[in-house]
Formats: sequence, structure tokens, C-alpha cells
Amino acid sequence: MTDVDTILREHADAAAAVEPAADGWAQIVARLGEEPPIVVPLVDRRRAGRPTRRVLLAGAAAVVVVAAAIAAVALVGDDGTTDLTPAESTAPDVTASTVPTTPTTEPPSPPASTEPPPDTTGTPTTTAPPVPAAMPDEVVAIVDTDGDGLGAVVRLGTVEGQPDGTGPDSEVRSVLVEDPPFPDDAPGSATGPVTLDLLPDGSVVYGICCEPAAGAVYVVGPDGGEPRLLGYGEHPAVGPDGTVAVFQLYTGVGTMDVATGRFTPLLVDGEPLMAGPDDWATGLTWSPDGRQLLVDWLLHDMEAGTSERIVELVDLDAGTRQRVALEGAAGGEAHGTFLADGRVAFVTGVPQGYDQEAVGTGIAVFDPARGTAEERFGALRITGLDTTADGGWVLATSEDGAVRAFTGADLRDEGTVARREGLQAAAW
Amino acid sequence: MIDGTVSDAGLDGLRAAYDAHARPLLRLAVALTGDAALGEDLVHDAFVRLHRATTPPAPGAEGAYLRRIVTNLAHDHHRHGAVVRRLAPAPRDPAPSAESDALGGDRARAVAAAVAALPDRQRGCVALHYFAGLTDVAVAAELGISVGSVKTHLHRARAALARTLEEHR
Repeated sequence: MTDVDTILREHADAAAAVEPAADGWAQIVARLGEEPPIVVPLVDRRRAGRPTRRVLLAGAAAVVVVAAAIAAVALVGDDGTTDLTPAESTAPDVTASTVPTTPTTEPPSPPASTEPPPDTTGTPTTTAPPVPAAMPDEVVAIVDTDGDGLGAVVRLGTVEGQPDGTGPDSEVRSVLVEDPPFPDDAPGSATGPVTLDLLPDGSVVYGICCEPAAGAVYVVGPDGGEPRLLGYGEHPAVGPDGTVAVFQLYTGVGTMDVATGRFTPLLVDGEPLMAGPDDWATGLTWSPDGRQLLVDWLLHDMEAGTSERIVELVDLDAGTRQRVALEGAAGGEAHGTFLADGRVAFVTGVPQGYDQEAVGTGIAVFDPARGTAEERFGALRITGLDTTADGGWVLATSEDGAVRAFTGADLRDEGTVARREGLQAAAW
Repeated sequence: MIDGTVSDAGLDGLRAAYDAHARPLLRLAVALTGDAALGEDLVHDAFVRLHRATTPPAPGAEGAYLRRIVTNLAHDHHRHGAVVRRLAPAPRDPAPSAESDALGGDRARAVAAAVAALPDRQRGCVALHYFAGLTDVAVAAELGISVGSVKTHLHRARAALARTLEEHR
């Protein structure tokens, strides 16, 4: 039996034996004479704190062309005939969700004459927050139990908030999905679960990341059992009515029927909810009323070889898209989640690199009405944020495997409520 | 002058970069894709992007810049290919090309696919260490992580690849 080290070295040696084409340089020179491709940014990548631009016509046309090309490939059979039966139940549905849209061209801006002074106290600016119920006594988490990079889905008991850096490991109350949880040939199985959320009946929907397939979404019952492959997509997020949003590469954000796995693209102002063709969502979060969606985007500038992480607030009713950012902050943004009053908590200081994990250094709060954000916490090494269904609590997972609780009304730090080495994500 | 847009003077630096980096980049690209023709195409694309870059790399950093573009392009190829394969009808009888045979045929494609399926950092470490021939220290510098992290990522990557490539061992 050959070890992997030898396989990789032999593979590299075989690749090294490939000779460059004799006219390689000439081919490059010829391509330099061609017109460069038109790249139309679908999201404003440069101006932090400013509203995003809407999808431009050319960009939308390109998206439609890509989608049409994929659809055409899907519908043309081996013999060249057209098959109108979807190849799989998860094929994109050309009928968009019934999301009301309006022909708004820019996100709403606050009237200058009524601009309130900056909020430095964290006091909500909209509705009064609900009084949170008692802290949930357990979290559902993805934990890499054996250090192989693949996680199991488990229920962890919580404790009263402990000062950071203290407290024992949390009790594993049950294992819902073993590690490794899938057959070797399952889509995306090499990466294991990376995100999860809870359905109203207590079932857990979790996503396997995006390589080499376009991600896969599974459902497992409240007490575990055999996971069911729901469909293809990334970063499933459960809305207040149980609607599951997922992201599909080249298609955008849509909803996935829990019973059938059927994917239906979401349209915002009549256009697919996506960024550029090289970009993809790395996180989705519904608002408590199900009318807004937060999207974490990883944007790629292939020409420059750089990447950027941003958070976008999408109002599905108004058909608008608004950039969530802390003006002047270094790094990118990620892990947006809603507070009880409609404001948005998000993680700042996230490395922008293509290969970087989305670990930030602090938490800021964005007020959509004002279009501004303020920093609340720093130096926390946050890997994710999630809000309870009642909006009462926000939990933050951190790089050291700790889960820290904040009140959902004013983001007051209540300390660490769970901890487990290898913890990668958690949801209430 | 080429097509009225590219000056000969502007090509001197690019030609120098091509002479210095084309061959190791081709090795990286072919190893990442398992396909000689595709690898060459990605390398050409990387040089075109270098030439058109609005913020070119600092002198001396062209190699790292080009490796990053090739790695990104290969990654996008796998992602895009996965979507198209999922939506497209399966080919009736895909015949391996002479180039893929020279690379080892099914095994080359399997290795490339297995590496593509690794998490980002593991894949980056494997690509730079094994396919670009960089030392652990150089990999760490290029990815902006510690040498210890490089070793950890490589260890985990080998463990994951051992499972994925079981039938090819």
C-alpha cells in the first residue's frame, strides 16, 4: 500500500513532466490582445458603510446567461433531445418565490433633517425589545470530536454564564449525527457539517460545505437517526415559519422545501439574490419576522487574486439591499444576526483572504435606519453569531470552542455558557 | 504593439515573469486539475490576469501572486465543474485523453479531485508544499500562518486524503 505522501509526490512529479506548449508565450500574447471580460460588480465592494449598489443590468444579464446555460445543459439529453423533466428534485425552479418586490433602486436613506445623534449607549432605536425567556439549557453544536476536521452534531448542556476562560467542558447530552456522518461518496463529505440551524419541530438542518460539490443540506430528527439528504446548497438557515434558505452557486439564495428538497430562487426586485458569478454566500440569517435576510458574502476579485467578506441586509418586501459595515474598521465583516429590535449584530475584523477562515476580532451593531454601526466588543476571536428564535439571546462561538451568551435586546455580555474543544458552530 | 492595446515595453516584465515562473506554475496547475491542457490554460490565464492587474504585485512577489491566481482558478474550476456535472447528463463513455493517460489517468484525476475537496487551508498547504515545492516555512510565509499550523494542516490533509484515495493506494 502506498502512503499518501508518496502519492502526492508522484502526482507532482507526473505534473512536472508535462512540458509547456512551445507556443505558450505566443498564446498569452494573443490573449492580451483580446478585449478583457466585462466585470460588473453586483455589490459595492469598496465603500464600507455605504449602501450597496443594486444589481446592474449587465451583471444581471450575465447571471441570466449563466443560469440559462446551466439550465440548457440540464435539459438537453444525451441524444440532443430536450427533456423537460428535471434531472433531480433539487434542480432550480424557474418559478421564483412569492416575495413581493418593488422597483426601488436604492436602499432607503434616513432623512437628513431628522438624523438623530449617534447612539453610543446601545439603546435600541426601534421597537422595545422583548424580555428574554430563561436561557436555553442546551445548544446544538458541531464539534470535531477527534481532531480530524470533520464534525459531529451534538447537543451540549449549558451552564450559567461563566467569566471568560473559566468553567469545565460542557456535557454532551446526545449525539445526533456521528463523526464522520456520511458515506465517503456523499456530496461534500470531505468537509463535514459546517453550519446548522433548528427547524420548528426540533429537527436539525445542517449544511456541508461547498467542495467539491456545491454543498449539501441534510436533515436529522430531534433525537438523531439517519440523516436525510435534503438537497444541494450551502448554509441552510431556518426562518420563523420554518422556511429554509440556502445558497446555490451560480443560482443564488433561495428556499428549499423541507419535504421535497425542491429549490426555489429568491428574487429581490425581480433579480436573483446573488453577488458576482465568482462570489458565494458564506452565511444566511432570517429576521425574526421573516421579511429580511442577512447574507454573508465572500467576494472574489479574480484579476487581483483577492477576496473580500461583507454582510448585506436584504429587505425582501422592499426589494432593497443594504451593506452592513462599521465605517473605518479594518478587515471584513461576517456572521450577521438580528437583535430583537431589528438592528444587526455582526463580526468585524475578519481576514479578507480567499483561504482565510471567517474568524473576526469583535462585534459591532448596525442600525439599518441610520445606516451606521458602532463597535461593541473587541478581541473576542468570534467564529459565529446566532440569535434565539424569540430574539432574547445572541450566542457567539469563539475560536477556543467557547459559546458566549449576550442578551438579544442590548447585547449585554452574560459570559460563557458552553465550551467544548473542537466546537465549530452552534445554534439554540 | 499588439492590437493597439499592449505595448512591447509593457510585455518585457511579463515575459521575464513567464520565463521565471511558467514551468513551476504549470506543475502546480496540472497537479491541481489533473489535466495537462486545462493546467496550461489556467497558467496562461494567470499571466493575462497579472498583466491586467490594476494593483500589480510588488517586485519579487510575482511568483506568490501567480500561484495564488492559479490556485484560485483551479478551485473555481472544480466548483464550477461540480455544478455542471450535477446538472448535466452523465457522458456516455468518457474517453481519457492522451495527456491524462500520461499523468496517470484516473488516479491523477482522483488525486486532483481529492485535493480540491479539502478545506481551504489544507488544500492551500498541500498545493504549495507538494505541488509548488515550497518548504513548510515558505508555505507559512505565503499563507500568513505559522509553521506549526502548516504542519497541522498537512497532517490533517494527508489523513483526509488517505480515506478519500483508499482505492488508489
